[in-house]
Amino acid sequence: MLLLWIHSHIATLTIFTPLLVAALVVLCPSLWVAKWLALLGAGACFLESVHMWHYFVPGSGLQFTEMHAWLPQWGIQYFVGVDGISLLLIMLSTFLTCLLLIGAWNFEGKGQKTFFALLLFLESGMLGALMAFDLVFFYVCWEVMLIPMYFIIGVWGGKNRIYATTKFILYTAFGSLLMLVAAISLYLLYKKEFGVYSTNVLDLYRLSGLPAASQFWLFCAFALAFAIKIPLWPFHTWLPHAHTEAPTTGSVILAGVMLKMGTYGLLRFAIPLFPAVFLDFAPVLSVLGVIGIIYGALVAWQQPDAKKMVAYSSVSHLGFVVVGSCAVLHSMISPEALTGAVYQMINHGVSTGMLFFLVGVLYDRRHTRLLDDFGGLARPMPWFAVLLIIATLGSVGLPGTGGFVGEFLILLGTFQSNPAIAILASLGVLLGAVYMLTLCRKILFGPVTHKENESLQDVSWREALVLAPLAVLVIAMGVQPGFFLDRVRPSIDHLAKTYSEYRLERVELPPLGCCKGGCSNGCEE
Amino acid sequence: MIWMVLLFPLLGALLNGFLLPRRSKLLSHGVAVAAVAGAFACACCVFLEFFATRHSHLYFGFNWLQAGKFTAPFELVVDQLSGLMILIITGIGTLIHIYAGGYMKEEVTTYRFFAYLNLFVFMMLLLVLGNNLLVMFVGWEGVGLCSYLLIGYWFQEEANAKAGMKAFLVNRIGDIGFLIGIFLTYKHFGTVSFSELSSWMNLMPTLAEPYPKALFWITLSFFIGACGKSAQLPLYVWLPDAMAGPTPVSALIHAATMVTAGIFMMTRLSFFFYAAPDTMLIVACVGALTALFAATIALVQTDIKKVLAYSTVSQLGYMVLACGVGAFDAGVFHLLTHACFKALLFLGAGSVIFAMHHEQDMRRMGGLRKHLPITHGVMLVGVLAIIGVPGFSGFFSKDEILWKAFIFPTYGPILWGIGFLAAGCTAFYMVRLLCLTFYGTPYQDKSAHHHHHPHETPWYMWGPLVVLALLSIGVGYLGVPDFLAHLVGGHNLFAHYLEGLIYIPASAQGAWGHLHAEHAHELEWGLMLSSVALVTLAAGTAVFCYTNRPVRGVASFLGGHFPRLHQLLLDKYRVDECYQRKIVTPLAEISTFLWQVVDVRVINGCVNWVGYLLMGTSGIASFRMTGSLHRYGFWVLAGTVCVLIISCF
Amino acid sequence: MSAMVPIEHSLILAFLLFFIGAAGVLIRRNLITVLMSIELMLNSANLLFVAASRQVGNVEGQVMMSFVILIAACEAAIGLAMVIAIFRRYGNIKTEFLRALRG
Repeated sequence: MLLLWIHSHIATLTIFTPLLVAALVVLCPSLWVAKWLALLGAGACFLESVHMWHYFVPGSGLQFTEMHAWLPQWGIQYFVGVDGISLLLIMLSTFLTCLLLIGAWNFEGKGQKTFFALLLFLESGMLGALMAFDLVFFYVCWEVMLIPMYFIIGVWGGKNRIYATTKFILYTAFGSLLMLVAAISLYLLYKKEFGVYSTNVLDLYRLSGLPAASQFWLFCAFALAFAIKIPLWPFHTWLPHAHTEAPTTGSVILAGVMLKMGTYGLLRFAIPLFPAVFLDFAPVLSVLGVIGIIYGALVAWQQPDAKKMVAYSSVSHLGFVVVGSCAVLHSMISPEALTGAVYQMINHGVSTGMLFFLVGVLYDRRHTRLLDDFGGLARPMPWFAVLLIIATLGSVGLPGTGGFVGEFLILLGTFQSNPAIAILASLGVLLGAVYMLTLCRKILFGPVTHKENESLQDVSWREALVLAPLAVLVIAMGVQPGFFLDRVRPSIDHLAKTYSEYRLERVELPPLGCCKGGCSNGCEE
Repeated sequence: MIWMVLLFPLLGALLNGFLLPRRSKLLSHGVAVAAVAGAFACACCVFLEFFATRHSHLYFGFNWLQAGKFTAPFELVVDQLSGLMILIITGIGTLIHIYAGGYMKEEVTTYRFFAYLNLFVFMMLLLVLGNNLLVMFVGWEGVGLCSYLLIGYWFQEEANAKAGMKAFLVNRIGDIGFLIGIFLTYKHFGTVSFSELSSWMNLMPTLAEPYPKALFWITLSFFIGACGKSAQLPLYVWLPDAMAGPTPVSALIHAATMVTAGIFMMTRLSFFFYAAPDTMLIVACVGALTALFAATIALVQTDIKKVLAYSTVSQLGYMVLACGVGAFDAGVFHLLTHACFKALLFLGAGSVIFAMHHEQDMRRMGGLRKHLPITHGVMLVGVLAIIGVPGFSGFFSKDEILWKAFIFPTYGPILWGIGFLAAGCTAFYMVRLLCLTFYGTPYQDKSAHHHHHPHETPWYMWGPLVVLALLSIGVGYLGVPDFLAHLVGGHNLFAHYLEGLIYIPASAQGAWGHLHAEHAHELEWGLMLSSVALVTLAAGTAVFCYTNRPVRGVASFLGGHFPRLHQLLLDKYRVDECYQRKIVTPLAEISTFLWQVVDVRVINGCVNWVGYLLMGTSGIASFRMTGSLHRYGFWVLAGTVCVLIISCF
Repeated sequence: MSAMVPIEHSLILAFLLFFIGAAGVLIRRNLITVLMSIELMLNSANLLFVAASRQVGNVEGQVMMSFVILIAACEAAIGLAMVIAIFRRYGNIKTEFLRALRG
C-alpha cells in the first residue's frame, strides 16, 4: 500500500522530501543526528528520483504528473511532472546533493545544521523548478532557490561575500522580475484568447494568436531572465564573484545545477512558448554563446585564482549549451545539437562540480586558491592528481568522457545549421585545453616550490567517497552515453522537431512493478 | 579474439594504474609486458584468420553514440590496413615494453609509466581498428592524452610538463581540423562509417557538384588533422620537444606508432583523397618540404634524441609525400619499415644514453664501439636501413616513394628533387650521429671527478634491439619494387597485399592514370642508382668529417664560412620563437586585456554603474529616512489619521 | 442584568486609551515602555471590538478580540525577546540607538 502511494505521488514526494527533512534538521537538537538525518533525507530523495528513472517510459510525453487545484478561481494549479528534458537534471540534482552533504560533513565553521538545512531547502527549490508545469509554481520555486543560496554565500562565504551575494541576488532577481511581468502578461493574453485563466504550461503552449510585438517583448523578458542565470555573455559578471566567494559546497551546487536552470528554462519556456521570435533570435543567442565560449576561455586562461578559472570555464561551457539549443535548421532545432546541449548540461554539472570539489580539497588544506601557491602536488598527492586529471579531461572534452559527447554533438548539429558558428565554437575546444592544462600544470607538475606543500595529505576517504563517483560518472558518460540518453531521446527529438508548435501530452503512470528498465511498450501487454 | 586484442592492454593499464600493489617493479613490468604480448598473440591470430580469407570483417560492439539521425556504433574493422597496423603496434610494442623494464629500472613509480604505456597501446589499437571516424577519433585523442602524460612523466621538471602540454595543444589544433572533417563528412554523406563511405565513393561513377568542392574541404580538414599528429609543417613543433619523455616512449609513440596515425588516417580515407587532386598537391608539397626542412635542422643538432626526432619528422614527410602523390601503399610500406628501424634507432640511442648515465649530448660521447658492441652493431643496421643502403628496408620503401613522386604529373620532378636532397641530408646526419657516438676517440671530460666506463646493457634490453635489427633488414623484402622483383620473377608483395583496400574511385580514375601506366625501367634504374650514389657520397663525407677529432664537419665549416646560416639551423629556423612571439604572447595579452579591462572595467563596470545610479537617485527619495523610530511612528499615525479623515468625507 | 453602558462611553475610553498608547509609542525612548504602549493600543482596539459586539449582538467581535489577545501575547513575547537581543547588542534599550534604517 505504502509503495503504491509513494509510486503515485513520486514527483511531489521528490520535491518535498528535502523540505520536510530540512525542517526536521533545524529542529533536531543533536548535530550528529541532524547530519545523519540530512544525509538520509537526501539519500531518500535520490532513491525517489531513481524510482522515477526506473519507471520512466521512453517517450515524449509528460510523466509522473500530479495536478491539484491551488487557486482555482485564477486558474492556478499545483501541477508537476517529469519529461525527458528534466529527467537527467533531476537525477543530477538529487545525486549531487547527496555528495555535497558528504563533502560538507566535517564542515569548518558555525551553523552546520542550518547549512545542511539550507542545502536541502535549496534542493527542494531546484527540484520544484525542474518539475513544475505551472507557471506560478515554477516562479515560486525559481525564486525560492535564491534564498538559500543567498545565505550560503552570504554567511559562509569568503572575504567579499556580502558584495558577491548581494550582486548575485540583485542581478538574478532583476531578471526574474522581468520574467514575472512577462508571465502575468502571458496569463492575461491566454485569458484573452481562450476566455479562461490558466497558468498550466501545457495550456500555454497552445497559445497561437499572440501579437508579434507582444511575443517579442515576452520572449525578451523570459530570455533575459534565463540568460542572466545561465549566464550568457555579457550577463555573466555576477558569476565569478559568486563562485569565488561561495564555500565549496555552494560553488558546486551553483555550477552543478543552478546555472542549468537558465538553459533548462530556455528549453522549457522561452523556445516553445515563443517559437517565432526564437527563430529570429537564434542567431543572436548563438553569437552571444560563441562569444561566451571564446571569451570565457580566454579570460579563464590568465586567472591567478583556481576557483575563478573554473568559474570562467563555466561561462565557456554553458556557451556551448546555448549554441546547441539555438542550432536552428529548416524550422527545427537540430536534434543532434539539442541532444548535445542537454547532455552537456549534465556533463558540465559533473565535471565542473568535481573541479570545484577538488579546488575545495586544496583550499581546506592550504587556505589559498592561488595557482602560484601550488606546484608539484602530483608527488605528495598522487590520487588527487589522478582525480584532477580525470576532471580536467572531462572538462576539455576528451573522447571517452562525457564532455566529448556533449561538445561533439553540439558542434555537429550546429555545423549543419551554421558552419561559421561551429568552427568558431570549436576554437573553444582548443582554448579549453589551454586553460585547463595550465591549471593542471601549475597545480600538479613542476617542482614543489612551497615547503608547506611537501607534506600535504592526499584525498581522505570521505573526499574520495565524493570524488570517485563523479570520476566514474565522467568516464561512464563518455563510454556509455546510450545509458543516459536512451530514455530522454524521444523528448528531445520531439522538442527539436516540433518546437514551433510544441505540445506535451500527459502520460498515464505505469503500474508498479511493470516497465522494468528501458522497455518501451511493455505496459500495454 | 579481436576484443581480446583490445582488452589485454586496457586490463594491463587498469591493473597497473589502480589495482595492483605498487611496490614491486618486477610485477608492474611483468603485467605490462604480458598484457602487450597477449595482445600481440591475439593480434597474430586475428591477422592470420583475416589473411586466410582476405575479407574484411566488421565486429559490432555496442551502440555508442546516437542522436537525431547521427549514429556512431562502437564497431571495429579488420582489413589489410588495420590487420597490419595491429601487428606493428603490438609487435613493436611488446619489444619496447620489454626494453622499458630495463631502461626505467631506477624509477620509483614504474607502475605509473607502464599504466600509461599500456593505455597508449589500447588507444592506438582503437585508433586503427575503429570502423568509423568517431571511434578513430577516440583513439586519435586518446593517444594524444597518453603522449601528454608520458612526455610529462618526469613532471618535477617544469620543462617536461610544458613540453607535454605543448604536444597536447598543437595536436588539438590538428584535432579541430579532424573534427571539422567529421562534420563536413556527415553533412555531405550522412554517415561517418568507413565502409559505407567507401562503398558510396566506389559506386559513384562521376561526382556532381557540390561533391568535388566538398571533398576538397573535407580532405583539407583531415589533412590538417594529420599534420598535427604526424608532425608536418607547420604543426611539427611539438615532436622535437616531446623528446623530454623517457626514450622508450620516444621509440614507441614518437617514432613507430602514434606519429604515423596521420598517414594511417589518410590511407583509410584514400578514396576521398584520390577524389580531391587539389588537396593531394598540397599534401605532397607539405610532405616534401617537411622532409627537407627537418633534415636540414638535423644536420647540426648535437642532442642525440633531437637528431632522431628531426629525422622522424623528415621521414614522416616522406610518408606524407607518398600519400600526396597517390602512392598510399608506398607510404604505408615506409610506415612499416620506418617503425622498425626508427624504433631500433631510438632504443639504441636509449641504450647509449642509459650507458652514459643520461648524457644526451653527442659531443660528449665517442668511441663507444668498444664498450657497447651489440648496441653499436644494431645501430649500424638501423643507420644503414634509414639512409637507404641497398638491401636494407629503407632502401626499398624510400626509393619507391621517390619514384612515385617523380612520375607525379604536377611538379613531379621538383618533388622528387626535394626528396632526393632530403635523402642526402639523411645519410649525412645519420652517419654523423653514428660517428660521433661510436667511433673516434672517447670524450675526455676534464672536469669529471668520477669516470664510469659505459657498460653494455642487460640482455632484456639488447634482445629487443637485435630482433628489431633483423626486422629492419627483413621487412624490406616484403615490398621490393616491381621492377626489381621482376628480375627474380616476383612482384611487389606489399602493394599486392594492399590492393584490395586502396583503390582509386571510379570518378577519379582519370587523374591517377599515371600510377598504373608503363614507365621505362631505365628511368627507374637511373633514379635508384643516383640516389644510391648520393647516399654514398653523403655518408662518405660524414665519415670523413667526423671520425677524427678535432671534429671538422659541417658545423665548423658552416660556422666558419656562414655563421648566420649555421646559427639559423642550430636555432631550428627559430620557428618556436616565432610562434611564441606572434601567437602565444599576443593571445596571452588579449586574454589579460579581456579580463582586466573588458570584464572587470567595462562589463562589470556597467553593471555596477547601474547599481550606483540607482543608489544615487534613491537619495532623492530617502531624505526622510532619518532612522528615528519615533518619526516613522509619527508619520504612520499621521498618515492613518489623514486617510481616516479623507474617507469620512 | 444591569443597565447597558452606552456605547459612547466605551468609544471615548477606547479613543483615550489609543491616544495614550500612541503618544507613548511616539514620545517614550525606552523600548519596554514603547512595547507597553503598543499593548495599550491593542487593548483599546479590543475594547472597541467588545463594545461593538455587544451593541450589534453577535459574537464575531469577541472572537476577533480573542485573536487579538493571542497575537498580542505573541507580539509581546517576540518583542521582549528582541528587546533582550538589542540590549545584548547595544548595551541599552534606548530607541535612538536603533538607526540602521537611516537612508
